[in-house]
Amino acid sequence: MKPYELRGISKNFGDLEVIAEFSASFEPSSVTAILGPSGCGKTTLLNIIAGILSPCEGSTGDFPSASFSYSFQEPRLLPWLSSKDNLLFALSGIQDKKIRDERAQRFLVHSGLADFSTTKPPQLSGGMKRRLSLARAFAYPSDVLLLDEAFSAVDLKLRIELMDLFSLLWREEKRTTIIVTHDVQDALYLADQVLVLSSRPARLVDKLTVPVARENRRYGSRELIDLEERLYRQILS
Amino acid sequence: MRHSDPDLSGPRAKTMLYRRFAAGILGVGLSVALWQLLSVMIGSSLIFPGPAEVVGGLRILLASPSFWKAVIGSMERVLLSFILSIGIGTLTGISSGLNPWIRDSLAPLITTIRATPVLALILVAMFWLPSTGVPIFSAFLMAYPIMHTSAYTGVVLADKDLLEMASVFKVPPKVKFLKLRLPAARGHFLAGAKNALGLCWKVVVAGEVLSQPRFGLGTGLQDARLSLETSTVLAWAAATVFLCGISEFALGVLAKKEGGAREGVAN
Repeated sequence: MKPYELRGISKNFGDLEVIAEFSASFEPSSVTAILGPSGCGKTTLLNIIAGILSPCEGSTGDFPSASFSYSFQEPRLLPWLSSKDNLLFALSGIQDKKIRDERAQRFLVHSGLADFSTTKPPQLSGGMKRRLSLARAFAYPSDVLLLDEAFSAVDLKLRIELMDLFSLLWREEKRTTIIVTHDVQDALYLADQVLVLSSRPARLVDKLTVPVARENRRYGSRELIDLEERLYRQILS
Repeated sequence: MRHSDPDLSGPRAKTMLYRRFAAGILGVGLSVALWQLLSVMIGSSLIFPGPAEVVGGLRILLASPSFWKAVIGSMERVLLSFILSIGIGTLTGISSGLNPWIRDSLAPLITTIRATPVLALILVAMFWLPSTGVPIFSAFLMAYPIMHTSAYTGVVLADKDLLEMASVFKVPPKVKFLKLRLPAARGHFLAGAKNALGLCWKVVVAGEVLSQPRFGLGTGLQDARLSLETSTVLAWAAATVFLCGISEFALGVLAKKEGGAREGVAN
């Protein structure tokens, strides 16, 4: 399978230039983290990849023919449906009811929400909603998985829990994954490849490969301190 | 790890409930006192009867079988016009929300109906329909734009983020409509239904006053007016207000019960 590619992507909103000539390649079954300061255009880039927005210039390669799962910045759950029904809602395009049920149940179990399958989102804690959103993204059988700050705005313990859940679910079905984050340590904990964006308009300023296998990494480990310093330097410059 | 809901049965909630109840009783008491005072000042039960006379008139009405026939007759008309306005209003409102072409082609009709004075409508309907049909038709036409607009607003104002999520996951249109758009429209729909029900009562009774079906609250009102029985007119009016209040309350309880079963729907 050939890599997904973005070539010369630019995006403006009126006079506001958000992304400038962004090009990158995403290996199949790999995890890429797009790192950049807040408000630099990372979500816009993810929305262009997902086809929610169109670029002003450039090519999105094979992305338009791919199917996507998306874990948004906010969980975006239907408050009137139970946890399981939220998963089934996302899976409703699958014809076979057995497959839908099996996938929904499996990913509820994996995400530790099996006991809450009939609970509705307003009765779930913030962390559980995030887990459900992540489970929904994994339960949907897509070619590409997109995660937009899926681990932010929660405390460190919960963040690590969510990232470990991500790794666990990802091992189940290794999909081409693009994670948007502003956190250097999150990027180094999860990604095979890290792309660094400048502040707006977002340009690719650095690209690195994480040399340690994901299963051997520890959050905030000093093994990757050189890479961490390099990334911080890039972002702060 | 569940979030705790606000304790609606706690002592604080109970105190609030008592306070609201006491304020309501106080409001009623003050209004009755003011009514009595005005009645004494005016000094004519033909022009302005006091509360005791109206209660007396109401007691006589309650004992009369024709009153209950009138209540049943009016309730049937209200129910029929309400169901019609809900059914057709929801259908056209949702269709307009989903299809701009339908919205634009229905807009002149809705605006015309909305701007038509209720009396003009009743008078015109009297040329076309039998006396029992006039109140139903008029109330339906008055309540219909409310239900249409409520259903339309509910569909149009569905959460854009949720719709975007559904698009990314390629949720089929039918499922998106049934599980996202319809439940999201529930709050607007219920608010519209409550307004429509109140309006149906008012218009049905007004229609009955003019069209004079055999049994109806409006017929009773008009008969009492012609006999110059002001206290009985007010008694009929009080019965109408009470029935309207009861039916709105019943609708609210039904909505709450259904909302509790669905839990989490924003009203």
